[in-house]
Amino acid sequence: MREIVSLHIGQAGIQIGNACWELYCLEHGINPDGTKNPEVVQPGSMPATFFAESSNGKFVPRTILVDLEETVVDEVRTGRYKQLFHPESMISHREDASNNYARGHYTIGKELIDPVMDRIRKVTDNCSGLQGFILFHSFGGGTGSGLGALLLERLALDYGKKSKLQFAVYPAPTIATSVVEPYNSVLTTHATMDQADCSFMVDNEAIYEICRDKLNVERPNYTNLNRMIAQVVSSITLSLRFSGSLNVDMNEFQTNLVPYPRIHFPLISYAPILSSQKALHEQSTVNDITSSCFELSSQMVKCDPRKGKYMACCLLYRGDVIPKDVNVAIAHTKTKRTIQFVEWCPTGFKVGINNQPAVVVPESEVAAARRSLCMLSNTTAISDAWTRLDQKFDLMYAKRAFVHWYVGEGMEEGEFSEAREDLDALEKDYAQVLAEGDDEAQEEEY
Amino acid sequence: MSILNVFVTADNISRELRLSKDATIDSVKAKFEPITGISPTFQQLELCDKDNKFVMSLEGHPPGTMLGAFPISDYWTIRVIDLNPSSVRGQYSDVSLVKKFELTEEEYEKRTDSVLAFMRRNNLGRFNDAISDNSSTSDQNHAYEEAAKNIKVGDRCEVDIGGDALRRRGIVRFIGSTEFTTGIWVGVQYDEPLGKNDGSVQDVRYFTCPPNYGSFVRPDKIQTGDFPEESLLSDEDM
Repeated sequence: MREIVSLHIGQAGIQIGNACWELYCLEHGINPDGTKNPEVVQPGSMPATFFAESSNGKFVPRTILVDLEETVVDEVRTGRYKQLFHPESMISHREDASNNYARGHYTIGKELIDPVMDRIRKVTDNCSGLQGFILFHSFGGGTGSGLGALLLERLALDYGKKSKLQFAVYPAPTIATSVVEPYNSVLTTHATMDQADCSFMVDNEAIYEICRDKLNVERPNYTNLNRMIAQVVSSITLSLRFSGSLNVDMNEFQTNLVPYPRIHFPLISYAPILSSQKALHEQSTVNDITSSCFELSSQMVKCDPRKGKYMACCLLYRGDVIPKDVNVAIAHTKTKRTIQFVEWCPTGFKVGINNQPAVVVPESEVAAARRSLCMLSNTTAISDAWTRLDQKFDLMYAKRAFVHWYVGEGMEEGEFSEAREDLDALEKDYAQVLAEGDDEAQEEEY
Repeated sequence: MSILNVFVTADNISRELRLSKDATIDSVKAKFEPITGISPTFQQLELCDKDNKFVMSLEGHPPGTMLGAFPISDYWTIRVIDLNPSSVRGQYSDVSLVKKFELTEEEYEKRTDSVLAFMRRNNLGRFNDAISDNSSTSDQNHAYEEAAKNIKVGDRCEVDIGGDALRRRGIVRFIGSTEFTTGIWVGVQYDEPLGKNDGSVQDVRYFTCPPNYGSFVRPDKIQTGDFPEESLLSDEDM
């Protein structure tokens, strides 16, 4: 068995985790207490990649939830799924990270990392063929950024080449979750650049707008946003949890999506996103959902792919989808002028189809669609998001604003400039990829 | 201990936070400092309801007053107002105020972990010697003319421009010199929209086809012969 261990770090990581495990349970017919619901028969279901089966027949998530403070973990400890998780898989501390990367990575994080690594060891010892880890965290929070980076560093030491995927809440373009969010994000991106194999980013503003505009939720809260994120995570991990699809291995994501080690930040798009009322009046053919995924309003990070070039594109269809319709939809997509691939990858579409349709939680505002598509694309356009972040960093760093909070936790000031240089190099890396195609094109072909 | 989910907002900042009803206003302000960047002495807190309508100020109460003393519910908002006279609105969000930091080209060149270094190390892209060519232009043009002798308009063909690009099939639509650059070029209409134009380049038309089906390549990149149209089904991984 090729097991995956999920690590949920900090408020965002844990709350997304909550939504994901709730959805996994529904998809695999597992009750909130971990017992199997005998009435639900899911052909092709392979819960063992994500759940360990205990000797009394309970399904226990292969996961760890860690926070430096207690209130968020307590929400899980007292919530509907409190019996699902192994009590020792929920780890919290009394002092929070105060939105400070240095507290998460150095002072407070250091106190917690050993018990966390011990617990991860117990979980991985219980796996027969560990495939890798998925880390869920935010870039902006102190625990998510700091402890998340520390954890990835330690995983690289202890687990060598095992895959490490990252699912990260990325700073939104206009509204921040804290004033120091740009610092934390730049520091964690730098620290994890060589550790994470592939990082899927979602920005809260993009998802907020999806909830507000497509689902008619007037003032979306984190529960609404996280349910949306969970649908995406479910689609991405579907082929690991249900048989009968194309991408059966985590390495395949990397091979398909990551042409250069540093360019490992695919853009996620998802369709259809329909409210229960609207769903009855829409048909959402394979062609419709494919076109929708190329619209800006379906993206989980705000950027404009029409201004960049695609390096790779994975289309993960689920539900009632046949290959013939997918071929027609792709052929149609290729005729669009706005979708440009880099020269060395003129038709980089990779397709996965899984017949398991999307499931939604009962009180969800999203309608269950008969067919849906999650598109993962590596586009140079996502570098817009880095530019935005870097500028905000510079604005504060020019005045050394709040830097003393970090230095006060034992961090060297040099780490700021080192991290910022690395991020500028990342922007230049994207520019390199974009420019490379142009040079060849002028010589070889008009 | 009872926990509330509240929104905390300030200039360009908004987030959800779990706060205990037992928390004092002073401890809440301390928690808000790293979020808003406003020191507690300059924070003025206002309570707003679910619809973000002002309910009351959280100021002017004796020290030790707890959050639970106010009529606050889940998903209400606490708005933090900055009373610091030296604060400038947009000081941490108006990016036009500061010049963006950039590495110089030299500094980027020196980095060993960049995409540029990776391409150089692995002979990719422009570091791929097979692509760069050093024979003189007239020799080259002569070679193109020789190659073009075996190509006729209307031939089925396959184009391989080398590098990592895929082979593409289509029909020869044009052979000859062009306005856009010197030497002989062959205009091809591909079976799929994998080209660069509609048969015209820089507003000069050489043949006509649907947008993105047309493209011009050097004669030595083309093989003519029996190259039937490939079925769509064969090149996708299903």
